[in-house]
Amino acid sequence: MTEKLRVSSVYIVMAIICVIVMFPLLLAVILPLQASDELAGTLSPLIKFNGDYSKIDYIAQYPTLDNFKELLLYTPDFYRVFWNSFLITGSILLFQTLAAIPAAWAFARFKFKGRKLLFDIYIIFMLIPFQVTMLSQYLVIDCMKLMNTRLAVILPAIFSTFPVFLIYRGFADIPRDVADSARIDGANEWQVLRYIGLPLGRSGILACVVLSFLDLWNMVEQPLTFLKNKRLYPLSLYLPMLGADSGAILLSAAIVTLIPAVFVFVIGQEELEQGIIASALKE
Amino acid sequence: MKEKIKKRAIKYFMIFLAAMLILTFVSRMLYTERMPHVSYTKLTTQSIAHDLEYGGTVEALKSRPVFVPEGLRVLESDVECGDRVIKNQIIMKLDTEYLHKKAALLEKEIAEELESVSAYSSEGSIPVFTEAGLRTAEVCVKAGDSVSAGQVLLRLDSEYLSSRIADVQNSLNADISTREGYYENEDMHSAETITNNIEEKQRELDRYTEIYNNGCNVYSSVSGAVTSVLVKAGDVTSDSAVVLISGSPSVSCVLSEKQERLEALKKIDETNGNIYSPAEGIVTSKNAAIGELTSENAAFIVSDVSEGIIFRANVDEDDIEYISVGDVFKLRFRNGRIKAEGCEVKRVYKAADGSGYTVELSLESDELRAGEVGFLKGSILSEEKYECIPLNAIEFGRSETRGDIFYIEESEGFFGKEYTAKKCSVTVREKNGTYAGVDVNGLPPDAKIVLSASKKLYDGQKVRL
Repeated sequence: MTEKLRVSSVYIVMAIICVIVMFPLLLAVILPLQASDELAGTLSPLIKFNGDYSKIDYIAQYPTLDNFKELLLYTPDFYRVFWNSFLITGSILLFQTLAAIPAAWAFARFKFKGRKLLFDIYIIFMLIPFQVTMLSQYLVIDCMKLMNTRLAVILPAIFSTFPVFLIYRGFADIPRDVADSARIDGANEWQVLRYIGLPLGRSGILACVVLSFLDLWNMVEQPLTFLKNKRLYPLSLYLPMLGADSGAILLSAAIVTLIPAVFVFVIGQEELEQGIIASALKE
Repeated sequence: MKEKIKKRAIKYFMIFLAAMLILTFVSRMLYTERMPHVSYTKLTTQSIAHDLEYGGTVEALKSRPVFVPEGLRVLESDVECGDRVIKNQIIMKLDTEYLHKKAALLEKEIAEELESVSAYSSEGSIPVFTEAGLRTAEVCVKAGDSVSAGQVLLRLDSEYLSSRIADVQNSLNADISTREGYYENEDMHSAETITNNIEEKQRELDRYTEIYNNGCNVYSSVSGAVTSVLVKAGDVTSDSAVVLISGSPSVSCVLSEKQERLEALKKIDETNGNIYSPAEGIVTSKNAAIGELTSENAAFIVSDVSEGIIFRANVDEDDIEYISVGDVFKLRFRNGRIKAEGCEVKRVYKAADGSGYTVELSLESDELRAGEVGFLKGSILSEEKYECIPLNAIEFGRSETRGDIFYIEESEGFFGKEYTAKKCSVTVREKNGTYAGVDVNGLPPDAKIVLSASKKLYDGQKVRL
């Protein structure tokens, strides 16, 4: 009886926390369904800053999909930034993975002088926030004449240290005997990586892809620093730019922006869990 | 199970991406369809040119109007506008029978009016008075009659006068008896008061007696003409004058006009109804048609070309501010075959019909004749230089001097250069038919001003050029 009561109370507490956490997301789904005048009334305290608080009708008075229609049919800017985001994120993910896999394989499989020190430096770099290296990155990119180009965002991200760390854990789990037996059978190091490393380290690689996607999709600081031209802006800069007076478009755009992230999460959920578990166990 | 969900998620994600790709093009098309297409022009700094083009006629420097008494029937008229006439040429013949009738009628009217009270002007007349309270038996004169000093003007009723004398006499006797009574009673104050009355009545009695002794006649005190008789037989006289006599009598204005008109009719009759040209020149105006009656306006205007020619044009009130005496214009005649340059404005005056102004320009030409139609052409530049925009770019409200314009603001957008229509108020300082010189505050010097748009614009609207 006591055990049941304890379990129930835990569930209740967790449910309350869950509702609190989910509340902003719930609002993001509810508000775009309001008609533009109703939504303007809801958001007016945010625009006027007159000390009043927003009064939210959780069920729209006249539910409508007009805001989505306006966004999807009459706001071509949104598609420009959507595909910008997609291009930047996709490019980074592709080249980041291509760069991270050999690096991680080297850290996991080879023994060379200074390996430990180099790996430690990688971890230190992983922990340094962007703001610390922002100025130096800015100067380097400016010297390379890459300012205000997509490469300014893509290039530094390709060589991020976090994917190396995450994939390294997946490769480190592979028993050395398996790789050695492949070598005995005449496989060179690239073949070992291709036929042994990649299939066995797949969960780590996919976990890295999923996590990186979620991070890159919402990336703000790098585009804000390196991009001046609106034509190159990603979604993460477009949404804050709209402001509260374009609330209807902003909220609808936020929902559409969420969709790719949700898909990627659903597709890579299993690998993400496995990859994180593998990393955690090994550490 | 998880694998199935994953596969389905991948499928839906692909569908989502495909839908986004299609919508990218669709939204671009729809957005472009919504966007107004505008044409624009640049703001320019220049003077406003006022182009003037007015039609007018060549006229003689001096014009001689031919006036004919009003209301006469035109029998013949062989000359038309533009015809050259010589001095004393018959330009019109009037119906003499109709003229005779008119003259006879007028004569009758004048004769009637001369007998009326209002025929003569009473200004400067000498009034003739008589005793008040007497009845008029006969009026011996009428207005217009000449009278000499001492002539009988009217006779008074002798019976009425003798009764008045008897009444006054009785009243006088009664007063005298009363006064004697006062003396006996030694009431000197009352006696004195009544004495005044007695003296007054005695004087009245003396005047009445004098008139009676004169045969009850009222005589003229001066020689002249009777301008007005103010009493008639049977009236009782008052303190006012009974007759007005003027040493130099004048008829009233109306009568005078009629007399003048009669004189004019007689003169025309003497020429058998012919109207002659007063000078050699060109007939520039004709206001008489055969069978119709003449009007008060000049029947003809004959331009006397012997003293030179001028060009005369009627100019609208709005444009007159740009023309002043001394300005020089070009004139064109005969479809541009004859041009006259350097024609100076000699005179500007309000048109007779009040519908604008008449401008006279000097003109020297041996080829041109009076009555020829020509065109005045010129361009006057404003003294001040303005920021100029086409007039059709301004949207005027109630005021003619204030309006709104749209200018295009260029910015870097998500698709490269974006153009936004911005509204701006302008004050019109000066304008012509095409351009307006305006005051623009806050407008960039190289601003692109919207001339026309395929859809109604609003402030902040995205447009395409």
